[in-house]
Amino acid sequence: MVEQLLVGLIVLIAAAYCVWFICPADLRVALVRRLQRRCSDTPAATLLPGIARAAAVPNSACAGCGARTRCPANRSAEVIPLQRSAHSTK
Amino acid sequence: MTAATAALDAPRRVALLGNPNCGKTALFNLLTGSRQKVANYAGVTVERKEGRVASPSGRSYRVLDLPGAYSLNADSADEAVTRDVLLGRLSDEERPELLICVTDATNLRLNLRLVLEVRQLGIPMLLALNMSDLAERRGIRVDTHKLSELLGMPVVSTVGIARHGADRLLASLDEIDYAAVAEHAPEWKTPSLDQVTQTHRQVREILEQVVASGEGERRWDESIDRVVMHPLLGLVILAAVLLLMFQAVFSWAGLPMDAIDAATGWVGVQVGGMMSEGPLRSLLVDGIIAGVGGVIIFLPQIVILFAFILALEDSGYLPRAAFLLDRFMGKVGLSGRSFIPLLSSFACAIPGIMATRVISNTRDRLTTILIAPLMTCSARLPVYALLIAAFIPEQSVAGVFNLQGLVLFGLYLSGIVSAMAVAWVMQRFGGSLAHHPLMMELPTWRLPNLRNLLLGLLERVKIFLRRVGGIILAMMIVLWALSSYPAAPIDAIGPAIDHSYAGMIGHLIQPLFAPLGFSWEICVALVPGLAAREVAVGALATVYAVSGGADEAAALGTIVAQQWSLATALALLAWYVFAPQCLPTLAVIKRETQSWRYPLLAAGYLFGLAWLAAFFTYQIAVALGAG
Repeated sequence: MVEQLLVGLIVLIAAAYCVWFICPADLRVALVRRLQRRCSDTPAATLLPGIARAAAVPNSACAGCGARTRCPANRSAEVIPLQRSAHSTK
Repeated sequence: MTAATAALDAPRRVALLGNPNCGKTALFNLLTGSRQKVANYAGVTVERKEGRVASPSGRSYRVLDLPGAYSLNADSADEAVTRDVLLGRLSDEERPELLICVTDATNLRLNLRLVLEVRQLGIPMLLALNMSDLAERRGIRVDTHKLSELLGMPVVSTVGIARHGADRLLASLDEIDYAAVAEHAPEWKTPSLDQVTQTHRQVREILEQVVASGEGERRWDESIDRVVMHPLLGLVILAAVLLLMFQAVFSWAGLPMDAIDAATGWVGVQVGGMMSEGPLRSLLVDGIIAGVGGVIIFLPQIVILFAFILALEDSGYLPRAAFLLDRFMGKVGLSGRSFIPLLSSFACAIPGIMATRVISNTRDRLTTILIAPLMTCSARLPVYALLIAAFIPEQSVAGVFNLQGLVLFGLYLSGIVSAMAVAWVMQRFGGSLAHHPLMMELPTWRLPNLRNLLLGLLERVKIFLRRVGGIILAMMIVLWALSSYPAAPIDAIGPAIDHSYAGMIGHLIQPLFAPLGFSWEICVALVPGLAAREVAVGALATVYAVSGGADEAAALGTIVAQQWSLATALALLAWYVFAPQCLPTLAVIKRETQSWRYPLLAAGYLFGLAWLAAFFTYQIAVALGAG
């Protein structure tokens, strides 16, 4: 029984990590912000700064990329929409 | 104090301007020390840094460190902010009264273009010849008096990292004629291609008059370039370099791969022997050790691949390869500017897609974004390597080439050719097959720095191991659970995995892939591959381990060779040349294009191509008797 519980817990943590990993960073950050608003007065609030930091870390395929310090998760406002670059000459 | 004297005493507004990596920020730190205020420009996340400095005469200056820019024709948010500050377009920012144009004295050819462009704005300017110590050490001598005369502005040598490196610059601040500051904001128009070419010519003429560089070094560079960048010979050399790279991936990685294989097999046996039968043992042996071991075995091949890429990058060969391929890019309507993003995509499509920001033409950028996933990223390597090792005999061709390496080269080439074909179709139907000339700075040839190379490799190893210990491990655990539960009924016939969730999912989607010769086990492996492609190999290892026991898991290649036909293996290889299943890549396409249309288009056309390529490969192989 204990073995079953332990295996169940490991699988649960792994599944949660997979979901966390697949989520785009900005979605994770938005989720954590919502949590921060809701749980600011609860004991869980002490964990939230750490979760917020983890949410902003690019951890999907971006983690394997040399340009990760310029990840859109951190510098989203710098994304150049296609329409804007249309003004450039060629 | 009167208003007039107050105005006279007010600190002058000075802005530091320059190309990225010219040592501008080091000079700013040297000038202002700790007297800095850091904030963001309104509305964007571009950093705004301002500091104060006093000249030897006691006059006070407010120094603004503008974001690095190559041109006022902005291609990034950083460059747009620089341009807007200079043109007085930012409501919260006063126009500077003096521009200190910081240049890298070792690379004036690139830096002077911005100086000439900004000079046209009519703002008082001073040229800081930064890194002058480094230029001196390299034998580059700059005639500062002549340069000052030609540019019509004071020129001062600086060393941003030396304690007194900016003393002469500070003294020069008082000598500027600030009366020349225009009342009205300067005018600026996007330069035409002719104007850009004219600026390049002007830079060349100035350099000929003021710079005396190490002639020997330049001659050496030019002689190598004559061979390496020859339109025909250069392409032969490029093909040979790539071929050598892929040969090495198979030929040199054998020993370490065998060692890792033996080590993971040993760990599996030891752990299995120490534990009694039960779900925890199965999770560890069939799920974690078999799955993770099935992926980690490819580390030596990834290290060899990146050792080549890093060495080529460090030597200065890659920009030259971009130049060589510009002609071919032009034929499909793309410019050489697309080469670097596409090259980055060989490591991972995500940085490649982000690197398309350097492409100013919308259609070129969009096309490059959409074809970037066709470049063979390093995550596909484990899949290719597994199938090639299982099905392609290790024999030499023409006494020189290794057949396995040739097949790998062919797969990479297929990705490139397909990308070019797709680009041609997109550009043709978009009505733009015009060739845009490529202008880029070619770095000096140099021997790759061993330390840089090792640091780069170490970084790649860390990244791979983080992936193995992170998402791949987690995926293997989840897949093990899906493959093990629910347990088979007591009276069930056939393997227990058939009754599991993974078995159900596999059997559910298998009809879609049956014409491609894919078994339900392959279909199951394709699903976790959505998060990271190499997970597919670990997933196969786990599925076969759960269905057959730990002994089989230790030799995934053998199982694949025994249970699959050659036609199926070839079809899966063809599938992976196009395979769209990488969710993070699609997410980045969405972000970069600010639209759902393009990621959906990418996923759709890649899936269609993958299915058709695998279908034809399988059917042709079966017809030829490989089924």
